[in-house]
Amino acid sequence: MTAALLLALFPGHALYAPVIMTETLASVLVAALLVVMVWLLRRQTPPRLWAAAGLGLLVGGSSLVRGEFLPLGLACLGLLAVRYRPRRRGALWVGVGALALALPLSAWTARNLLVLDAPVVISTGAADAFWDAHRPGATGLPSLGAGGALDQRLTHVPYPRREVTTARIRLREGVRYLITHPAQEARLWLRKLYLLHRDDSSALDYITAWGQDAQVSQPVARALARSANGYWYAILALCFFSLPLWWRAQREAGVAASLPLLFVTVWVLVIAVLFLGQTRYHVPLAPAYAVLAAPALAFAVEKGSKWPMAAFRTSARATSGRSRP
Amino acid sequence: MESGPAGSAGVFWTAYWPPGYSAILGGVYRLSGGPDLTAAEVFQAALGAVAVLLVFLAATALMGRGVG
Repeated sequence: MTAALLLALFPGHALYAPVIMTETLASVLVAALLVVMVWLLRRQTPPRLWAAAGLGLLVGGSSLVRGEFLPLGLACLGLLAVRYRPRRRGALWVGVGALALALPLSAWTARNLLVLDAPVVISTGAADAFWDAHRPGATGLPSLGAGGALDQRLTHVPYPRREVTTARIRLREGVRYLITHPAQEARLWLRKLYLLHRDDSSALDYITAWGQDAQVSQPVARALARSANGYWYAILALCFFSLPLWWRAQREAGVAASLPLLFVTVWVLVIAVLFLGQTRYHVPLAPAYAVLAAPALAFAVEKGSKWPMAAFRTSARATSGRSRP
Repeated sequence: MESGPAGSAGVFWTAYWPPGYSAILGGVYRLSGGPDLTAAEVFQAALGAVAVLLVFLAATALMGRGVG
């Protein structure tokens, strides 16, 4: 019950419920993908092909909610390709999964080809975020107005062509900066890792409209932020102390025991390397963090509950030893 | 559903965000008879509860009931 309890009490996760953004939906999809992957990896041989199609559709559909699901899903398929025996059947299974993954994305890409005259796979906004993360003066956080010069330059381009032209130029400039400034990029990756994890109270910014909405008073908002951040740091500490327990769990659970860490690593690296370090981007991972953190807490609770009994037994032994003639 | 930064004369960028969340939210609004913030909040609260159940299933399968 520990992981479920950790997630149920997760303030950063619960506070996003009234925020109309993708975080809550994405976190359920992360949890669903985790359950499906645990089930699939506990087997040595691939299940029927409909399961591959189901996994592919789940990942493809989730990628249309948040783009981070695409690399995460590909990593999951790669893990299954390595795991499944016999090799040929495993390859067929993963191939069907990849085809199913492409289905929802193809429908959206075909729509973009018709409407925008360009095969946009996920979104044009991704190019914006990518450029914002890889440009002169990038801080690792989103900037408002940094792209104004390009917007001005393209005012003569009619819609919808302007959307695609802007995305193409931003993508090209971002890639160029990424390649030509490796030292700055490496420094930014570290900074983005820090920015991504520095707090867990970002939902309150949206709920209180950055302090402008009086529905939640400032003292209450501050208290909520403190408790959300404290809980988040405790979760991160528990994740760290759980790592050896997950390592040991591989003996029984096999490669499936690496899933929570794999989810967190892929998601965080995609954001830190390619995009921006906003703290809200870690929120969809709350289920993976809860699972990752649970063993250390369960271990501590188990040891803690045994300790008074052990102390009682020792004391009882000592007493009975003294009373012996 | 149109999304993204507004262009001139009411023209919108239509692929600025992927469509998944807007489509699901559109479904919730359709069921509730129109754009209704409360319906969306209730839907998201229910999703949060489903996530707790899924986490219990995943962690139990990996490490047993105590950790789940």
